[in-house]
Amino acid sequence: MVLAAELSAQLGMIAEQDAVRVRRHLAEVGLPTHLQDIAGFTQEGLANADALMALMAQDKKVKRGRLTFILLAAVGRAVIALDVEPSMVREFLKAKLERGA
Amino acid sequence: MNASRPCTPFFAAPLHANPRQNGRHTMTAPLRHSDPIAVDVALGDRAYDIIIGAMCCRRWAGASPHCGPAHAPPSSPTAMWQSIGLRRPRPRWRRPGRHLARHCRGRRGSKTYGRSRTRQRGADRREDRTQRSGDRARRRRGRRPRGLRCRDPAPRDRFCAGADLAAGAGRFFGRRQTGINSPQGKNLLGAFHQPVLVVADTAVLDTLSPRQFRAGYAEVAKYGVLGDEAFFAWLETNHPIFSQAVPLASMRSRLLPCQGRDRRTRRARDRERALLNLGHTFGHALEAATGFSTGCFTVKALPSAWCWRRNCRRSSG
Repeated sequence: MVLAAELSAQLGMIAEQDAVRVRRHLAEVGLPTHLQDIAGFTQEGLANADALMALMAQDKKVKRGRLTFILLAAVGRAVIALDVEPSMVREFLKAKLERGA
Repeated sequence: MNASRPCTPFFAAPLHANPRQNGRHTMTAPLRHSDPIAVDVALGDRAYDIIIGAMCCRRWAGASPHCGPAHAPPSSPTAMWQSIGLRRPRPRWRRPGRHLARHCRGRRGSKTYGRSRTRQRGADRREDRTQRSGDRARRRRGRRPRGLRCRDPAPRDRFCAGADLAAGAGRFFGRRQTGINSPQGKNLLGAFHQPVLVVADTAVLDTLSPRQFRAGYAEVAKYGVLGDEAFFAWLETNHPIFSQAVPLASMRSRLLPCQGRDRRTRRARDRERALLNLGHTFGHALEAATGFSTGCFTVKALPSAWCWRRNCRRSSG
């Protein structure tokens, strides 16, 4: 959910502070909000953006090889995004993975 | 209640439900903690009720003509099923001893299969596929990737195994689903079941560990993020009530209007259901990468849901 909000912010669909708001609330209730919070993060495969992309390609929302994301147009308004560039998502994941490493 | 319903639930306690307004059922009456409430999921001939309340499972069972008088709380899951006159559901199409141990191990281990040939082939899940009838095909069907459209009727001889009812929220759309994990990804396999009745006993939430409860709370917060900014703002202020004993009574009346909608096209329903997948594209990949470990983002909890399919079929003759 945090990644979806941050990806929306990167695409300019919501303001940066909206993504921060979602993450802050989830962190307040004790939920993991960074990839690095996941137990076993250091294990092989997880810290690899390409491996994650391959796993996302198995998602049930994949249509004709195109990834579908559910992103935010505002807090409280989700939309189906069909035309997200995979290369952009890969860069986004790489940035997220590198930040805490 | 829908008149075409094959069965009518039986209650000792009164139900607080407003008349239907513009095709939408809303629950606004104040709820005593012990009163079960019924949500009518009005889907025409596929309509069913969801019963939500603390200890409502036992009360409902005690009032049912099929189940005999209410008695002491069951001591085990098997006894729980026996107390309502049913056998504990087990996958009939599996030979006990070979696969059953893996199927019933509990938590994540209970819903992971070793392999799926369709999945390994990398088939697109939008492929349309005709299912053959017969025992062999039915045995296969439970292993097919979810989302594959089957032209054969869904299996009707099985209980629904579970539902998303995290922290009293729940996702009450048309179908109950049993998702099964495989090494290729999360929730990829499984079968769809249309329930006749869902009973959600909120007392079961007390048995969750804090981590499991938090995972369920994520599901609640998701409703705010994806569809209701005011609700999200309310959660931001009021989330500390979740550490108290009785958050659910105040939660339920806010959450229930999200569900049980009617008079929408199939397409509209599918679209709304898709939005529930907020964050799941990332989340499922991360879960698969960590081997569905307990330390990962799980946005779902499986506290309690029983479908009385067999019982209701019996009552409808």
